[in-house]
Amino acid sequence: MVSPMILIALPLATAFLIVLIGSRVAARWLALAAVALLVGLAPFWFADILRNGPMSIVLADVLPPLGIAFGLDALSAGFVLLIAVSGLLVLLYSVPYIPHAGQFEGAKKAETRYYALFLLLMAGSFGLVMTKDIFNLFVFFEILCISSYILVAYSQEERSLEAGIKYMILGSIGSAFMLVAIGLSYRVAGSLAMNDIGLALAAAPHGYALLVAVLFTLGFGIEAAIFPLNTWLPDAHSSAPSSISAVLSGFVIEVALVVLVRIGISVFGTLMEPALGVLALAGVVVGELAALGQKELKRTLAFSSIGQVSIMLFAFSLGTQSGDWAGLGQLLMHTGAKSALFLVSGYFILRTGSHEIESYRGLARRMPAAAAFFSLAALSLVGMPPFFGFFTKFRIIEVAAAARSALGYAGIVVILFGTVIEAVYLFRIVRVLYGGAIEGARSDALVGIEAAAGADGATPFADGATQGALANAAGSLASAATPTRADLPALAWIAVAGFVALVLVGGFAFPWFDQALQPIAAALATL
Amino acid sequence: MISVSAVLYTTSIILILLGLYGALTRKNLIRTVISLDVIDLGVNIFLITIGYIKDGRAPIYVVGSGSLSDQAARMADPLPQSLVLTAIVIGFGVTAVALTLIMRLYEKRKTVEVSETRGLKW
Amino acid sequence: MSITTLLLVPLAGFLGGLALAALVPGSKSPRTSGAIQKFVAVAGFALLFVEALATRSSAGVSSIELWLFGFPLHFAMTQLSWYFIAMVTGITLVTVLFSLQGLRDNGKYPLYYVWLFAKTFGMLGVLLANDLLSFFIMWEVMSWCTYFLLQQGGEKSKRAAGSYLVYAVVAGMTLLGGLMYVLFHVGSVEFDAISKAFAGFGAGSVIVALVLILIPMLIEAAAYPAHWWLPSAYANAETGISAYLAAISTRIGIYGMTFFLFAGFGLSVINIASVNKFVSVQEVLMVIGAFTMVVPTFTALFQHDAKELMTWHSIGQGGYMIVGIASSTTLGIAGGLFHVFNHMAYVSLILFSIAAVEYRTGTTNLNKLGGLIKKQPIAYLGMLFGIIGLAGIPPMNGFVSKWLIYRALILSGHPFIALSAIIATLGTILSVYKLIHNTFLGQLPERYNDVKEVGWGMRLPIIFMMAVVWFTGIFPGTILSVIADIQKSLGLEAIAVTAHGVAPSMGQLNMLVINIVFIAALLVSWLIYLAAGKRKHIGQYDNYAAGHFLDASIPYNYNYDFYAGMDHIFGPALHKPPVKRFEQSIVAVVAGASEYLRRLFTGNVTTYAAYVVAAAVVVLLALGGGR
Repeated sequence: MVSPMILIALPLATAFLIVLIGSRVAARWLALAAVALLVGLAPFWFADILRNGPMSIVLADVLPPLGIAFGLDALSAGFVLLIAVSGLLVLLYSVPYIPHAGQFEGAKKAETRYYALFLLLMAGSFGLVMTKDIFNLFVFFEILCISSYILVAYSQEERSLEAGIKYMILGSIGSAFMLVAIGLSYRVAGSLAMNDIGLALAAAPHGYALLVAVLFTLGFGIEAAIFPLNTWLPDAHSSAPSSISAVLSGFVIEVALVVLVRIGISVFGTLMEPALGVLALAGVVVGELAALGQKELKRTLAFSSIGQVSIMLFAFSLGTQSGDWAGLGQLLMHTGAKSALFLVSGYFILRTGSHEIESYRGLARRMPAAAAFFSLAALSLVGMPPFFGFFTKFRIIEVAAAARSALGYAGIVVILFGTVIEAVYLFRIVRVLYGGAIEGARSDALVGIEAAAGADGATPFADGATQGALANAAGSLASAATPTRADLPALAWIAVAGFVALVLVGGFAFPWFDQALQPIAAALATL
Repeated sequence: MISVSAVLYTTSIILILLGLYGALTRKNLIRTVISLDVIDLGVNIFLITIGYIKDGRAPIYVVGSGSLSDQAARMADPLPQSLVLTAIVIGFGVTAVALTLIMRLYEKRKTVEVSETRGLKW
Repeated sequence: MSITTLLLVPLAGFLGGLALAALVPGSKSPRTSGAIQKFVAVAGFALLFVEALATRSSAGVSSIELWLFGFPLHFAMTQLSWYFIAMVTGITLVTVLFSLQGLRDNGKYPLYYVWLFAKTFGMLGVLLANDLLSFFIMWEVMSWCTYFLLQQGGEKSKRAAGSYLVYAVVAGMTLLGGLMYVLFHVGSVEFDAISKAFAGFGAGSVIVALVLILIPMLIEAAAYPAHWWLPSAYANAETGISAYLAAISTRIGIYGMTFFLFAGFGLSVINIASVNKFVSVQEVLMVIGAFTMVVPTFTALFQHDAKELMTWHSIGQGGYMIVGIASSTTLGIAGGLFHVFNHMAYVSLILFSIAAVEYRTGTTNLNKLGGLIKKQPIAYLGMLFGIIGLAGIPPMNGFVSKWLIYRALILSGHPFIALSAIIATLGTILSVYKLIHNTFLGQLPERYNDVKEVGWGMRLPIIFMMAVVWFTGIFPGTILSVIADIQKSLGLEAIAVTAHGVAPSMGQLNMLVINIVFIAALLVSWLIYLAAGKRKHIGQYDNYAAGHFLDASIPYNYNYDFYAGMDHIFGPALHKPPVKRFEQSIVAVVAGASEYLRRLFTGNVTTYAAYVVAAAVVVLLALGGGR
C-alpha cells in the first residue's frame, strides 16, 4: 500500500515540475496523470480504512508530539476520494476551457502556472483533511488560500482582480485570527496536536476557551463561507474562471466547513454550536434571497452556494451524528450539482460573451446537452425526487425535526422557504435557456408586436397573422443571435456528465450512499 | 517591575488592534495591505512571546554543560519560533501576491481606492 | 402485478420516449420522430386504460412494496383510487387520440407525449400511494412533471409554468412540513398507524396536521385563495393539453382531500378536527369551497378568451366538489365525487370543441369569433352538450351531481353555502351563454367563410365525449354505483343507487323520466315555433347601427365585448381582486427583502472586514454573556 503522504507529495512535486518544464502540453498531461493516479489510489485507502480502521502516518520516523502528525480515517479518506475525483473532472474540463479563460499578455505561458496552482490547491485540500496538527492545518490552509487567490484572479480582468484582492484581504484577516487562536492554544496545551489542545482547553477557564474557539472558528470560517464572513464569496466564485468556481464551490468551501466542524466538535466541544446554528440559518435566508435578486448567472450560483453551505452547517450544528450524516449527504450532492452548474455556465459565458442570464435566451437550442445538464443539476439542487438532492434535503429536515429544539423547528421553516426561493431563481434560468429568442432581443419593432399580442396574458389577441409575424421575427432573431450549434467540447462534456452522474446515481442508489456516509459521519465526531 | 513578556504581549495586542483599525478605516488598498502586515507583525510577536523565558538561551543542546532536563528548563521554547518563521514566510507570500494583484488592477483601472474598487457588489 | 404495470408502463413510456427523442431528434426528422412518438403514446395509454379497467377487482385487495428510487414505497389499490385511476387513464387516452390530429405542430412540442407519460406516472403514483412518504414523493414527481408538461408550449405558457412552479413548490414544502409533523407526532408514515394515533389525539394536533396536509391539496385543486396560478397556466397550454389539465390534473387535489378526510387518517379525523360547531376544518373547507364556486365563476364571465373562460370555470366547478365532499354526508360525498367525473367529461368536451374551432380559425378570442354553427356543426353540438352539463341543466350529467350537492347542503344545514352554489350556477349559465354565442352564433366574420369542420380524428373524440356526457346523464347509476362502492369501502353510508339515478330512500331522482320530459318539451316548443310561422331569414349584414358611422376599425358587433355593461360594474372588483393583490404583495415583500439583504454585500472590502470583526465581537459577547 502506498503511503497516503503521496497525496501531498505528488501534487506538490508535479506542480514544481510543471513550472520547471514550462510547456503547456506537458503541464496538462502531467497534472492529469498525477491526479488520475491519486483517483486510482483513493478507493483503496478508503476500503482499507473501512476494513482496518484509521491509519496514522508517521513522517521521518519522528513520533508526535515532536513529529508532524497526519492521519487518514474514514472522513479524510472519503474527502480524499471526493477531492481527487472532482479535481480530475475539473482538470479534464480545464483542458479545452482554460485557453479561452483569459485574454491577457502571456496567457499561453500562464496556462502552465494554472495547472501548477491547481495542483497546489489540491495539495492544500488533501493536507487540510489529513492533518492532526493545528499548525499544519494553518500551513495547508494558507497553501489552499494563496493558490485560490491567484486562481480567482487568473483571467486578469478587472472583475477577477478585484475579487482576488477582496478574497485575499479577508483571507489574511482570517489567518491572523487563526494564528492568534493557535498561539493561545499552544500557550495552554504546550502542544500543537489537536487532541492535546482539546484536553487543555477543556481544563482552561471558560472565557479563555471561548476566545480561542471564536477566533479560530471565525478565522477559518472565512474560508468555510459562514455568514457574515462570506462576503468575498459571491465576488470570487463569480469572477473566477468557471473551472475554479466549480472547485471553490464544489469542494473547497466544503472541505473548510467539514474541517471546521470536526475541530469544533473535537477541540472546542459544543462551545460554538448554538452560534453556528443561528449564523447558518441567517446564511440560508441571506444567500437564497440575495440569489433571487441577481442578474448574472454565476453570481446567482455563488449566492446559492452560500445558502447551500449554510444548510450543511445547520445540519452539522445540530450536534447529533444523524445531523452530521445528513449534512455530509447534502455536501456530496452539492459538490456534484454545483460543480456541474458552474462548469456548464462557463461555456454559456464563452459562447455568448456575457455573464447576464437574459442573454442566454434560447441557448438550449444551440447547446442542448449543456442545457439538459444544467436542468438536471438544478433539479437536484432544488430537491426533486428521485434526484440526490431530494433525499439529502429530506434527511436534513428529518434530523432537524428530531432535534426537537426551537432552532431545529426554525431550521425546517427556513429550509423549506429557501427551497421555494431556490426553485424560483433556478427555474427562471432554465426557462430563459429553453425560451424563445423573442424577449431577449428586444428591438423596438418587436416590443410593438408583443404589446399588440397582449404580453400580459389577460386577453391574448394573437390571431394567425400576428402569430406568424411573431414566429418570423423570433426565427430571424434566433438565427441572427445563434448562428451555429456549438455544444460543450468532448472533454468538458465528460466532466459535466461526471458530476451530473453523481446526483443521478446518488438519487437512485441512495441507500448505498446512505450506508457509505455512516462511517464518515461517525469519524467526523472523532479526531 | 514589569516583565518583558507583559511588555511584549501588550505590544503585540496594540499592534494587532492598530492593524485591524487600519484595515477597517484606510481608503487605499496598499495601506490596507500594510495594515494587514501590521496585524501579522503583532501576531508574530505574540507567538514569539509565548515561547519566551526570562534569561533563556537558544534551544541548542550543548554537550557537557549540564543534563538535558537542566538545559531544557533554561531554553526558550523552539516551537513558536519555528512557527513564526513559517508565518513570516507565508505573510511574505501573501503580501507579494496582494501587491501584484493591486498593481494589475491599477494598470486597468488607474486607482487603488477602496471605494472605487466596487465593481462587484450586491 | 397490476399496480406494478400501472406504474411501470408510464415510467417506461417516459424513459423510452426520452431515449427515442435523443435517438431520432425531432429537429432532424420531425415526421418520423412525430410518428413514432404518436404510436408509442397511443399504444402506451391504451394499454394503461385497459389495465386500469382490468384491475378493478383488485381494489382493496392488492398492495405492493416497490423499490423505486432506492426507497421502499408502498402502493395499494383502493376503490377510491381505482375510480380516479380509471378517469386519469381514460381521459388521457381520449386526449392523446384527440391530439393526434389536434396538436398542430409536432416539431414545436417535441416532448409533449414524453411529459404526458411522466405526468401520468406521477398522478398514478399519488393515487396508489399507501403511506405518507410515498404519497409525498409521488406528489413531488407529479408537480414537477406538470411543470415540465406546461413548459411544452410557447413563451407565455413557459411564464405561466413558472408561476405554477412557485405554487407547486410552496404546496410541496407545506406537505413536507405536514409529513414531518405527522412523522414526529405519530412516529410512523403508515396510514394505519396514523389513523390509530390520531383517534387518540386532541383537536389541536390533528387540526395542525390536517391543515398542513390539506393546504397543498387545495393549492393543487386551485381552491379560492390559491387559484391564481391556474388560468394562465392552463389557458396558455395547447388546447388539447388544457383539456387534459383542466379535466383531471387539478382533480388530484380533490382526490387528496377526500383521501385525507375519509381514508388515510381514519374516519374519525373530521370529527376530531373541530373546535366547535362553527369552527372546524370541515366548515372552513366549505367556506373555501363556496368562495371557489362564486368568485372564479363570475370572473369567467368577463373573459374574452374561450380557453381562459373555461379555465376559470374549471376552478369554479372545483368549488362544488369541495363543498360536496367537505359536507361529509352520503349525498354530498357522492355528489362531489360524481361531479369530478362529470366535470372531466364536459370540460374536456368543451375544450375539444374550442380546440376544433382554434384548429380552423387560429384563435380562441371571443371578440373575433362568431357564427361558426353551420361551418363546424359537430364542434357546436359538442359545446352545446358540454355547456348544458357545465351549467347543471338536465338532461346532461352535470345536473345529477349538482342536484346531489344542493340536496346535501340543504339537508346538512348549510343554507348559505347552498345559496352560493345557486348564485354560482347563475354565473355559469350567463358565461356559457357568452361562450357558445360568441363562438358559434351571431354573425360569421367574413374571414371565416372558408372554415371547414375538423377531420374525423378530432370529430370522433368530440362525438364520443358527447355520448359520455349524455349517457351518464340518462344512466347516472353506472358511475354512482362505483361511488357507492367507494363509500362502502371507506366505511361510510353508501348512496342508494338505481340505474337512472337515486333511490327513493335518498330523495328520488330518475333521469330517464327527466330526459323524456325534457325532450318532449323541446319537441313541443319546436312544433309551436314551426307552426307559428314566424321564421324570417335576414342577411348577415342587414343590421342596424343607430346612425353610427361605422368603419373597419370599430368592431360594431353584438359579440364584441359581451357583458361590457356588467364588466363595467363588477369588473373592477374581479380584475384586480384582493387575492391577486395579496399574491403581488407577497412577491413584493420577498423581492424587497432580496433587494435589502443583497445590499449587505456592499462591494467595499473594508465593510466586509468590519463584518468579520463585528461578528467576532458579537459571537463572543453572545456566548460569553450567558455565563
